[in-house]
Amino acid sequence: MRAAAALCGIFLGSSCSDSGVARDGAVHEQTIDKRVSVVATTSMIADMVRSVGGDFVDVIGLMGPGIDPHDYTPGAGDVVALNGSAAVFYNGLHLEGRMGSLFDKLADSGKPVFSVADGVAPGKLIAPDNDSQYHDPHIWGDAALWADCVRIVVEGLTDVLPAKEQMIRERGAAVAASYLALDRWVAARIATVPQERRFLLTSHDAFAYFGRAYGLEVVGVEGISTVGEAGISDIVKMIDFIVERKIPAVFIESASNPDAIRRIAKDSGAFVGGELFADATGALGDTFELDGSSVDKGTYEGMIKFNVETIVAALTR
Amino acid sequence: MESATAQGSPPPALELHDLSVAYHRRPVVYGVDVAVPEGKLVGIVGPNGAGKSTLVKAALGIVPLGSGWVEFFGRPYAEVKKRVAYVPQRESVDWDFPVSAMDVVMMGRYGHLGLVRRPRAADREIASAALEKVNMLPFANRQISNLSGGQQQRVFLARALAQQGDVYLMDEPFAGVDAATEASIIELLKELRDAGKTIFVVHHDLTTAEDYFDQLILLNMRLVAYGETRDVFTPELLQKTYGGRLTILNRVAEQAERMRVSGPGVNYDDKRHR
Amino acid sequence: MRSRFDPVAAHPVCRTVAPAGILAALCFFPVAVWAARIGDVGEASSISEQAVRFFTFADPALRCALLGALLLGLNCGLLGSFIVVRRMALVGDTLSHAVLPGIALGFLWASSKDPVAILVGATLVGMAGVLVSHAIERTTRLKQDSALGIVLASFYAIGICLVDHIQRSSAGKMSGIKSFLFGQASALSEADVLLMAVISAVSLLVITLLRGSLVTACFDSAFAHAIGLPVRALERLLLLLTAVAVVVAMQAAGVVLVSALLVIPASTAYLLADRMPRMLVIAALVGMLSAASGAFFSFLGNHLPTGPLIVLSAACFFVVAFLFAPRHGWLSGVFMRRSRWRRTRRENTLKTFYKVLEDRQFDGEDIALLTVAQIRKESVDEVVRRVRDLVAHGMVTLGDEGETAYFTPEGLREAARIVRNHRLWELYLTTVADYPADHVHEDAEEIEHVLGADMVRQLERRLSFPTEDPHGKPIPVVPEPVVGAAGFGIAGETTEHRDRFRL
Repeated sequence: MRAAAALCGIFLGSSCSDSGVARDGAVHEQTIDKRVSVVATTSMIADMVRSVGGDFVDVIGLMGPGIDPHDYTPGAGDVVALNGSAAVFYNGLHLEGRMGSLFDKLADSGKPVFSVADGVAPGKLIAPDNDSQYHDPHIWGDAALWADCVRIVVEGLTDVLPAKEQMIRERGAAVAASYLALDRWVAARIATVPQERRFLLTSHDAFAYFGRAYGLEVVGVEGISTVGEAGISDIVKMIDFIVERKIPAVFIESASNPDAIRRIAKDSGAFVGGELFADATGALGDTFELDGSSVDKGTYEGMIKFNVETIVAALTR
Repeated sequence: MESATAQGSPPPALELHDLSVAYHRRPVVYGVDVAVPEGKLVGIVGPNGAGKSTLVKAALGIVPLGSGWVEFFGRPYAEVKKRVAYVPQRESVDWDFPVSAMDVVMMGRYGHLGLVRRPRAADREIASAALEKVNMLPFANRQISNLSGGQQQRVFLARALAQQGDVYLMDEPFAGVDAATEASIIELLKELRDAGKTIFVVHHDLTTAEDYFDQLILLNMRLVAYGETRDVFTPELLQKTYGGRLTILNRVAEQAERMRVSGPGVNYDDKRHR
Repeated sequence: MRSRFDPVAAHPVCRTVAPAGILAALCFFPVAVWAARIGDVGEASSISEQAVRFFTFADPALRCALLGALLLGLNCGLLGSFIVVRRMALVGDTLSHAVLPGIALGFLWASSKDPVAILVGATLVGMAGVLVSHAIERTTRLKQDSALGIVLASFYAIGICLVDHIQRSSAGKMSGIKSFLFGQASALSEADVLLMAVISAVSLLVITLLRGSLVTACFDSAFAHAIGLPVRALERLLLLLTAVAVVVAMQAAGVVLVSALLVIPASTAYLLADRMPRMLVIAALVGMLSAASGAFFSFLGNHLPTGPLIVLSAACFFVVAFLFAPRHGWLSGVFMRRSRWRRTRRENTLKTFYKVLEDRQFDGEDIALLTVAQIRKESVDEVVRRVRDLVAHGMVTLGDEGETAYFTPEGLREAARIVRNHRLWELYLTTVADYPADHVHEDAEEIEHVLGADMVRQLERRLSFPTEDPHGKPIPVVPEPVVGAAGFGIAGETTEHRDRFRL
């Protein structure tokens, strides 16, 4: 029996082992420190909640680095974490495709559940096109939109920690301001790329908001028509496109199959500009140097900065 | 019992010594001792599930022996493979398989050719002659599913002939065969016997057994009798072979089976090879 | 997988509609656009332009994809043939699923998408899966289908867990693993193609060299064992080659579709060929043709995935073979049934004519069609149609008025033969099989059409050359004009025996 449980742990536990340990700790601390435990889905949201909540909250991020939120399937450990948490923050707009019904159920049971995308005015969302029934959920690509989402986190946290409302609101304002500063920084950095080179060619379509906000034409190669497979004509057309516009670089996305992009780079003469964080941040503690200071790729700000630096370096080479 | 192994006489064409076979630890053939001299046409007779096919397969090393040993011409089978021909049960293969009658007969040559060598003109001639012998040459290029049951059996026989062995082991060559074919096959077998070959035939039909065979092996899990047909084809021995299904041996076998898999569904018949 | 919504839900037709339909639909109605996908941004090119470009083979990506697909088609066709003739189609499916843990382990071992590490890991685990299923079969009462089902599902589940674990723990650095799950023929690299070429060459060599032994072992393993062929080793060798083929093909077609590459071209060849060598050639050709047309169609439009199109093309070839195969095809079956039905109808008409003459003791040779219609309880028009068919076959001639018919010699012989068959069979049933006399007519109505000459001779002998049927009617003789009133047989002509009548 124990052996069986241990075996299960190997496979199931991979989803909850890190978070599970943190949660057990949180239960103890809650009685002592009055910290509350909240769950966030993507690592970008977890970072936002951590920034706003500071020491008052323990944030459990369900989806670690490199996890694709579109097809993330919650494990038993995740459900336990969700049930044990004081509040749940998720992206919404069907980003967490397979968890949608779970959030609905939690909301019905009275659990405070917040979709950060609710903070964005509907008019600013990229509307569904004729094939997609939903708005594009990758809103964190535009730092200004992401700043709008802070509002939701602030409201959610004051909901569960009414005593700390003042502090939370102050911190929230600071976080939003930092995102807006990031927004200006990104715009300035992209502006250093010559207009005719502002193309972001990747394997799929996580960068639509990013492109719209900062003036890059974003083109993805993968067709949606089958599970992640691009047709030969897609690849050949991408190559034509690159050759025609003399685009210097193409980019790989984390958690996405790099084969197609490598093939395109090889045949078109463009070089692979590097790997971008698309749907998740990097690992916390994984840093890179920027203007003499160290930036953590595991944070939202670090992720965006890393992407921008990668893109700018590749396109201006 | 034949006592052919006297001083100076040639070794028996086939000798089984204390041969036992078990499937799933259930004994199917038990302690069989037989020594058959050359030049005999021998019937292996017994009821369903008596282990007749198993005995043949064990002799050829197709199923592992539980105990005992097998010798052809005084030597282990592996050394004299080329002198032994085999006709499996017709139902044991898929007759929709995309091969022609000629292809099947040519398989009889692979024992001589080995793994990689291609058949040569000489092999083709041997195969053609074998088909000719069973009157199947006109059908040489037919796919085997387009042959009647009797024709299929003749193709199998031709394949054994193409092996050019000195001992033939045949598993129910008369099953599903019309009377005319059966008569011509037995003619052929007698011809082979007269040419000094030794032939074993697993046989079902007691009414013809007496006419067909020089010697009989009466089998019902254990050897009931072996000897000249006129000596062993007696009511008492046949009664002993066919009567009393639940011999002690059978009961023990059943018990062994039951202890292994508790529950219903004990199957007396050798289901794997029937 | 990385789409915003479930692609399968968005395109349910991909899974369900008949292959030919989809292929046609995909060609004529290019799939609509997604914002910022390359197919929509790049200049639109017409299907014909794309087709022309395909045949210039100027694009390296196309060359790689096409060459890789051709090699896979060849390899899978060859090895699939052995799977199909051994009736082990499920093994292909089991292999494709059971290799998943091996792929994951290969990833872990090499900590990157190293094709050789993955190939080795996947092949070993895939073979282990099939051997485990053999062990289950041997040691339990379960049959092959259950054993394979157990292995397929449990190995796949282990694989999924491992893949999940790798993805969570590696910060997405091993994301290429997904290309193995779903396949991406269009992104094959030169190294992939080289590997495929080597593997296909090995398969081709092994099968060419060992063809005879392999066919013997597959057809009759007991016999092969008895003559000293290393049956076990040959089986393992085939399994090894198949496992390797599956792993390599998976990169292009994905877990779900790869077994289709093994089974469909080989099944098509099975319908078309009666001999193993020809089947191997046809299976390889169909595999390569499917690969080429899959690549071609994938090149015509936007967002057309290569792997599924290859499988669709193979399915189309199968459908064509199923319909039009000369011997095992549906159409030839329909044709044969139809011609048999026509023949039966003609024979029944002839029989009625014979009865008309018999009823008036063969007094005069004219047969009034009206009488025939009355006996057969049919309209005159229907009888006229029947007679026209007989006239066309030279069995009868029509009188001047068109109201009477006359037997030709051949027609009479044929009629006598049928009546004789009928009455012989009735007699056989009543005397030998102890049927009551009033039970036998229906049965004889069917049997009379299928009795072969051999069987008739046997019946005659068994019944000691009878002259009367159980109802007291004379049994006509073909051809000698001797016995009783049925002396219409034509002397001096030999009986024509038709082989196709044989049972």
